[in-house]
Amino acid sequence: MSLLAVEGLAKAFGGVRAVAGIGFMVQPGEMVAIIGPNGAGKTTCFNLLGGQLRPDAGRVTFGGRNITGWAPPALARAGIGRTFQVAQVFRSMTARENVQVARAACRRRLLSLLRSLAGTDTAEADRLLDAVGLAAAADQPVTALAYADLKRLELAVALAGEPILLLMDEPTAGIAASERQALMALVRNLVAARGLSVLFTEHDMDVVFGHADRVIVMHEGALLADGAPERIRTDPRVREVYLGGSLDDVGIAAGGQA
Amino acid sequence: MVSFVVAQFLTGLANAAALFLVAAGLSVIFGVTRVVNFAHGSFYMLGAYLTYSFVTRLGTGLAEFWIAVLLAGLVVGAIGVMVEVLLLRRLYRSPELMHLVATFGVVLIIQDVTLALWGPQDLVGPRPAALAGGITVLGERVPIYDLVLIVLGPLVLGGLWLLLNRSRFGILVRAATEDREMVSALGIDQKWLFTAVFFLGAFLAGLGGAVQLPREPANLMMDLNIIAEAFVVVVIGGMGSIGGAYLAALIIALLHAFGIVILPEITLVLVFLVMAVVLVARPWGLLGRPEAITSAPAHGVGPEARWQGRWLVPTFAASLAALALLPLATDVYGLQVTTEVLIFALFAVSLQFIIGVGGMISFGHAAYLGLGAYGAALLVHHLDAPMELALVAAPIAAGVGALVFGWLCVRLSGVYLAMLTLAFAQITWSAAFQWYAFTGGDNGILGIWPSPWAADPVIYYYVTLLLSSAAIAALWRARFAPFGYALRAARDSELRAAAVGIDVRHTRWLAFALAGTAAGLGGGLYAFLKGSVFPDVLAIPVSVDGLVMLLLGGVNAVLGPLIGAAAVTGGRIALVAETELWRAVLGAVIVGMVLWFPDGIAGTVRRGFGRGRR
Amino acid sequence: MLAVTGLQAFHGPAQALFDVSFDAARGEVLALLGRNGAGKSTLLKSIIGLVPAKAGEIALDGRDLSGLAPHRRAAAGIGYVPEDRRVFKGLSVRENLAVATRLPRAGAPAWDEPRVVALFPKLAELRDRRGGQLSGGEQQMLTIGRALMGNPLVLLLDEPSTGLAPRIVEALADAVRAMKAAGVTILLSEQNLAFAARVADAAVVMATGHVRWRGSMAQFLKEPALARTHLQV
Repeated sequence: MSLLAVEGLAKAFGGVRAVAGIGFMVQPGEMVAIIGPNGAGKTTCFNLLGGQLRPDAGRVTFGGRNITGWAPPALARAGIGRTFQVAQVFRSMTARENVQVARAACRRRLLSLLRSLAGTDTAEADRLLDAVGLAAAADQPVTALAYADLKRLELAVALAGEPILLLMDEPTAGIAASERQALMALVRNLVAARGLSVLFTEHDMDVVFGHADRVIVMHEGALLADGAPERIRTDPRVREVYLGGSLDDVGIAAGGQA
Repeated sequence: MVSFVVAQFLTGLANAAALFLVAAGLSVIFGVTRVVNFAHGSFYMLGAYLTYSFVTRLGTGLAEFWIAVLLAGLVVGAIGVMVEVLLLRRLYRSPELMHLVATFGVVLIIQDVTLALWGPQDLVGPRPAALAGGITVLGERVPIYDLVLIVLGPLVLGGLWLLLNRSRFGILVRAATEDREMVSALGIDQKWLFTAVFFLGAFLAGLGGAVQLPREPANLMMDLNIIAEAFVVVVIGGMGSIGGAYLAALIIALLHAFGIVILPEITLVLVFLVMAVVLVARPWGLLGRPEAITSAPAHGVGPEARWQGRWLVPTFAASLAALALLPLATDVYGLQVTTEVLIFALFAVSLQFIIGVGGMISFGHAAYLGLGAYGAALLVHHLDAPMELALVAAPIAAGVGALVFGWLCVRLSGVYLAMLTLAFAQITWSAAFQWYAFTGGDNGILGIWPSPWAADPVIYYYVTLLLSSAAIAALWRARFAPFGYALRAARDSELRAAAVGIDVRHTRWLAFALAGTAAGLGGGLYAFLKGSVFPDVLAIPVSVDGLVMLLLGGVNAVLGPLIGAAAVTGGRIALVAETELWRAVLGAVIVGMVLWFPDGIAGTVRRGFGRGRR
Repeated sequence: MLAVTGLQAFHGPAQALFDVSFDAARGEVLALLGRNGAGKSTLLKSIIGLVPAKAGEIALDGRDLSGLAPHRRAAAGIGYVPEDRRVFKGLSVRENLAVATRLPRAGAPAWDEPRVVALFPKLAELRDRRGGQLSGGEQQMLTIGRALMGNPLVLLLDEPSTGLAPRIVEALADAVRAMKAAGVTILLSEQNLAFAARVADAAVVMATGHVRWRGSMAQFLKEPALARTHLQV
């Protein structure tokens, strides 16, 4: 049985159909990329899955449960973790505290008024920070971290919720190309070790084709193609939507290995 | 019966005119500049006073009256421009909290200037002879002037509509209300546009005060009374919507007109219920647009100072020890002042829990201090309860109030939340002020003395020290517990907080109730310190005092509220003793602080230290 | 006409532009090519001044614009058409155009409502329609028309063809050529290479905030590896 099943998902903004009835699945342990040119509806699709937006129509099933239209906290408790295009962390806290809050939320300890957060789940938090390579920065306020490290921290925060599925919106956006492969390799190892599934959007094609098990292509709110990376790479329709025409049409001499 | 209903209906329509003018001005200014102008009620008050002066000089002919009204509007518009250019222009990039506090400083200054120029007595404006009579509608007499106002409302609405839809200025105003960044990218100088909009808004408020003069004598309470109502109107009608302002002004004025004849106290409940229904169904107001509710990041986001964690307990313990020894070093008066400081320290720490930790700007925290004070006093007065029981009841009363109001408040954010908290505080104030049979109205409740064992000021000082510091310590504990971190997490990034499983709304609601409860304990202690309770304890200036305490001490600094409470309470006592113009001085201090020391005393000192240490 | 030198800018905490330099000659259509996230939008925003530049210089017709507020840059002759269009939804088409109205300037073609309507005849019948009720293509025409009302020397078009039907993209290409003929210098950010190839004289290829290649459009089309590396899947 697939872990995540999306059927007929749709969302319109004032007459513009941003996501127009899209359907796909994610299997346990799979890393799936959603790509598409600007305005294809990737972000809207992601916000529908992450509970930031409510769909107009469609059905989302996660682990056999219908989670359509659930709010983010409920999704988190159900086992869906999330990272954002612009890294979202708690800016007034240290790296460790960021993870500790997420642990406290996961263990439903938020209403605790009397114990101090500083002493709870410290070892666990440090293990997570170590796993993303931030052990040395545990006591740093996050405002002192470089942006690439914030992305790593966000990953640790998302993992602290013990997710089964990670939704990552542009995991490498805003960080240097040299650090992208390292970050994605880290994601790859972490999810493999924990048996997680990942659904991510990405515009760096090296990242997509280097790390995705499967690629979904969106165009104008709809699903254009869904398949293995090699097939997507050679799919003429995919080439067209990215260039507005085939290379021949554009006037570029075709040929050579793609 | 029918005739009576019609007459009340007409009165309501007439009342709506001035309220609409003020709310429309507030709304236009906010739409374009994103500033909630607290001084808008002061502009309204100035409009009334100026009209009084003009009419007494020009004469009471019909033409002279309208000239006076128009002149008053123009002068107030010019004063508005002055406020915009000298003050607000430097603050557009500051957090919303600063706008509200700075414009409240202007309120205080204008109050004292008005007092100095026109004196403390109410000034009854002469009604022009031509408008003095009445006509009979279905057997009920209706003043002609009311009919004039009934016509004026739609006339101004129409005029504003024409201005906004048929002039280039209006087009720019509407475009800037939607997307001011794009307007600037198209070559429009925002400075000029903001000043012009401020003139228009202030002109409307001045006009509102001017036309109200024949119905209500000019008085020094007009400013805060109307601003609270205007906030209600704007929240119900929808920020930035002129039509919404008119609709909501009508609803509120009619509620008052009918409520007052049934049971005045019912009016407040009705207003509250209308707000509740509107905000639950349409959080952005009747005719507002959902996208208008986007607020800047909450105030005070930034790293919490680390040293406070390590030094907090020793510093607190040392202060407690010093305070415990204080009775050896000072007289009864000094002890009473210190007792008051301790109470306000608790008040400020509880306010910080909402604003600093929670990122929710509350402009009505006095409500919970007041609910505690009245809760205790009413129990003593009506049921002869002992102090011990009353001090238990005070935080419960305030906590329940905070649960009810907070349930609605946490649905909003930013300035909307600020306006709503203020409106709720004003509702509790009105209840205390109007419900003579139960609360004694402005005569207050007297004879609230501590139990005999605590009657000695030294003993009562220790009682207050014990309870306040215990409550403060509890709030600090909660702040650094998972709950406090969850609250801060929601402030830092609502998206991320929700995505890790924090129910943001519930967390904020609980924090609101917790802070209200703590403030209520302070209120109970305050009642027994003073031996009496008056509606003043619930009034806007007390809420603003709390904000000034936070700003002085630094919104996020753990010890800040204690420093702020000492400075404000002590400063106020000294000021009132030294000068008649203490409000103006306080207002100037607030304005100066916002302009030059936005980080507060603690922040400024820390920055100074920080340079050397980090 | 427009010279950008050593521009550095940030998008939030992340650096989005690294030492970007290029120039556009008078009356030229210059295409900025690159994938999502290459920094094209940030570049246009920092030229109009909505994103502050950390370092570098932006000169319009020899005049340094660095440090000026957006409205001064618009007044100096930069017209901006954002990617998400940002029409004023509550304002009619006419009012949208009126917001940007500016007196003619020396050395730049003068635009007014009739001339804009002549360029986009569809707008004539939509004059009293609210911006929010327009289709995507109509909104695109309106934002371009609105920017023209300010009589710009240089027009910044951010991904104008995104989400438009092929027929509308065709009309857009005609409009770009007409504006070029009228003497407007155009900086066009595009992912749609087919569209850019038809209208642009020169190209700047961007990737991850860096300029990777500069040259004429014809030259670009002769080097298929460029498109493959920087634009294609």
